[in-house]
Amino acid sequence: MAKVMDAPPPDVIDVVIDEQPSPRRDWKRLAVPLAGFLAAALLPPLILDGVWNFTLALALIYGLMGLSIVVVTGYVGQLSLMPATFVGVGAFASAGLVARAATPFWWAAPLAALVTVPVALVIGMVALRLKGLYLAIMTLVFADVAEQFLFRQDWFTGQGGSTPAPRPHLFHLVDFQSDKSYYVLVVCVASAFLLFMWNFSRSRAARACFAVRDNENGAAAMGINVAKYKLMAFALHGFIAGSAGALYAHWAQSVSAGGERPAFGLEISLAIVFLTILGGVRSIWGPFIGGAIWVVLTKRLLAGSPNGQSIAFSIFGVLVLATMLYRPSGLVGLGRDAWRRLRRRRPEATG
Amino acid sequence: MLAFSSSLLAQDAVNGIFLGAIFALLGIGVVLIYKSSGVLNFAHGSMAMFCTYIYFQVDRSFHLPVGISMLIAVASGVVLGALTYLGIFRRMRNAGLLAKVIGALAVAGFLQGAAAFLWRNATQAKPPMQFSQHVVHLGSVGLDWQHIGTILITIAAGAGVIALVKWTTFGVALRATAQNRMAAKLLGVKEDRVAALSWGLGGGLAALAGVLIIPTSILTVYSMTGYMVRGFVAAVVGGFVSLPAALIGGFGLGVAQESLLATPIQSLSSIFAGLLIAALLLLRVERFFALEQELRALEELG
Repeated sequence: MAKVMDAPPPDVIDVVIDEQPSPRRDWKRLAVPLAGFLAAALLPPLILDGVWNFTLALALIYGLMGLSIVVVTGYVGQLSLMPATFVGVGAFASAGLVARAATPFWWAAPLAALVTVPVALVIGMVALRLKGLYLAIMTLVFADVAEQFLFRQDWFTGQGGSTPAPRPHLFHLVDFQSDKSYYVLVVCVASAFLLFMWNFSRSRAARACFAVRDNENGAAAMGINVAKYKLMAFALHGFIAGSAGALYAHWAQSVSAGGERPAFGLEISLAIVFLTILGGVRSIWGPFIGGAIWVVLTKRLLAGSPNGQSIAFSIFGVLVLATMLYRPSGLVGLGRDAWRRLRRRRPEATG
Repeated sequence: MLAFSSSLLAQDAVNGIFLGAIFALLGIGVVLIYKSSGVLNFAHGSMAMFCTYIYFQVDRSFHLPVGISMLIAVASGVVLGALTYLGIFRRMRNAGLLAKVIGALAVAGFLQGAAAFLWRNATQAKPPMQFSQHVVHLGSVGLDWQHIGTILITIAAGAGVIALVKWTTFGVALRATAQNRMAAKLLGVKEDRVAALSWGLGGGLAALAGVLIIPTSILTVYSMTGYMVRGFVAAVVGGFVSLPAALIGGFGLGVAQESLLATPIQSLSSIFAGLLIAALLLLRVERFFALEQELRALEELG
């Protein structure tokens, strides 16, 4: 009843129609954002010094973590407050495989991502039973359990709670030891995931996901297997976050949990959710924009301050609130608005 | 690992009542806020933390009696809660559940950052206790006055809030909003006023919880987060609707969690709350405490 009378404001309808990716795989429309992404990603190593490569690699890794939120929250409408936990599982699995089982990175990283999938599927199965708020609390609690228990077990985190994670090389021909070369590797992985997600977001499965997000009962009535798509979203959530974790481990060259600021704790989960919302939770490009802002803010602009991360949190809190109140589709939505206004002003510019 | 000991168990259980009081105070506030506006207040712990810093600051700069500093902290909690609603969540009344959760998380992030910035030099913030640490012995268990005072205050506050919701006009309006928002509106309930009051009450209770628990340990920006999650567990017992259930749930969780410390499986105590909440959620305990109508109305609200 309440929903009928409180009609959504026109802006929301506009957003929904506007932000559904068109089902056509129009490669020309991919060209502009992808070229922009590659230019933004590949120019820095040519111009800037190694420290920036180190920082920007982290920005892309955060973008990947955010991409895992896009799948589960942006596409299927399930809130996961534990992406950092999956990142942690991927990071420790990859580092452990390399350091203790002498597995080459090229096997360890994909395996680590695969290991994260069943963990995420457990949460996915919970999500089948619990909706909305209850699911959000459950993920919060599971994140807490992982932090208090799993990330404190020596068999999982290695002796003393930390594992070294050396940078990889390819048949001793290409070495990814330096920040610059590792950055290129991260760009390749991120591009691969972006291409995959771009393709996925235009698939039949993705349209089923959007239906589940917008009206679960309606989707079920149309014959969509709601459980299947929710589980699929959580599996992808885990896979992407796990991959990001593996990349993160070898970026940092050693992983450890615990300490005053746990590397895979609730705070990082929140940061990942925030940067995704700020960038645009329904767009695959959004988390990369948000990730770049977050990392540049915390690691460069506020790096000198002892509580720079807290100040960054404050800034992000305000930005996220403003996003939720005024433009829920984030910076990507703002960019789209600006683009549309430009096109309206010059009607001859089409295409 | 020590052998099982019944006197140790009794002592831990009594400590659990103290911790449970804190969970109950937070849980009641979470329920009030959820009932009035459909927001699960993820900023509850941050609000408590922020007000405890105010308590700490007032005590350090003005050297007032602790009772007055405490009142100032609780009053600032009331103001903070009401302002959060009026400034942010009033505009999100018709927003979806996801938007409200993210809004609350953003408030939490903002408050944590603001506190870290404002009190960046207070690395060893240790606010004073309100009661003496003199230990009272009852048989084999000992309890200091801080614990006893906290438990009594919680019971008084809990009973007060339950009475308020049961017998006053405000309480009727609050329950009406939670059960059928549209009908309540048509009958002239000013939902913004009701919600702002509930947020104020919730903020005050959060401040009270923070002010009472933090002096037993140390104040940092993150020190309330764990308590908040357990306060959620207390609220879940009543399906975010029932205040008495939240009160019972808080005390029960505290006793159960601390009693585990005296048993051979004490290493599991830290994850106990997690397993308990999983069980509670999956068994849907809230059906025993809340009316079907209330639950359905809240689902619609979200």
